[in-house]
Amino acid sequence: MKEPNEDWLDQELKGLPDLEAPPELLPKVMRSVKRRSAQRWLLSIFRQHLPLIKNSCLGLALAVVVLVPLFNPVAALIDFLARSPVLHFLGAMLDVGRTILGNLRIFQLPLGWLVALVAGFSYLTCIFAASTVRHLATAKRS
Amino acid sequence: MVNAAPLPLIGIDDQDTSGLDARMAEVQEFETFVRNYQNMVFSVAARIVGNPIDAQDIAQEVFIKAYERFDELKESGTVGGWLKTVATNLSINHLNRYRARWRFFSEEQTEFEIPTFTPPTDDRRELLDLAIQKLPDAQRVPLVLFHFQDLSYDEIAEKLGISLAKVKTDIHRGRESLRKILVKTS
Repeated sequence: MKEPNEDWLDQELKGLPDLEAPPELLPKVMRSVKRRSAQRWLLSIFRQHLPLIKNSCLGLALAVVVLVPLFNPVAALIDFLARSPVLHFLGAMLDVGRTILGNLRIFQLPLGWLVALVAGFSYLTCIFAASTVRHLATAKRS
Repeated sequence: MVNAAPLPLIGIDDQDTSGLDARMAEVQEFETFVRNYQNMVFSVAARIVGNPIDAQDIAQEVFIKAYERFDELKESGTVGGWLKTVATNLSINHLNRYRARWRFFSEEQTEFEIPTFTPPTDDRRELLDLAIQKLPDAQRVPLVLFHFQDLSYDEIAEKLGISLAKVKTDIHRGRESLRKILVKTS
């Protein structure tokens, strides 16, 4: 069954023009498009010069292969570190520390042993205290 | 003796400059394209989602998709149809994604209260557009697809994933609501 207003409504709907897009739509679209366009352009330049980039990388790799046996960078690095005054000082300090811990005695016990015992005891005390606090907190909540 | 032809003196910089010019020309061409079609795309989205702010985001997305295929589109004779289809699909996806009360996928019927609003204009066409926006999603979307996108009942049912009977009922109810809104408002 056709309702009486149907034809009128149909005509009105058919004759309805497009809505006007808000003025900010075009600038927004063009901002995104320009950003994408720049990316596409950079990509196209990269593709355009791909053989040049490939050849440069290959040349660099060949140069490294030739230069590495001549200069041996690993040996140079080790040599540099061995000559470093900071490393010398650090080594001397470690040596002094080892001598003190091994030779100094308190109550007939070497200092090294005593330090290790105190550190182990402190660690165990911390663990015990933390688990006790946690246990008490759980018990209080329940 | 064969004379060697002189080699063209085109360096990398020249190629880049011409590439840059081509890019600028393409962007300008696309700007004209957006100017020509922005009202159409915005209308499709706004009438489906019933909200101009969301419609603007959808229109922007449509044009970005168009830019990605601009080389094909500018030579195609069906640009308008392509833009309408993409705008329609994105608008429906938008409704599905963001509206928790979207009822298309359930066959349940909800009672719709005819809203009363004070029209900001006396223009009948503007009034009709506002009335379309006031319709509930389940009535507005099939009605817009039927009247503005010229889709058949079958195509609408397929697009929205609902039964043919529901499409017919929703369009009928939409028209009825539209008529009531217009009568009430005028």
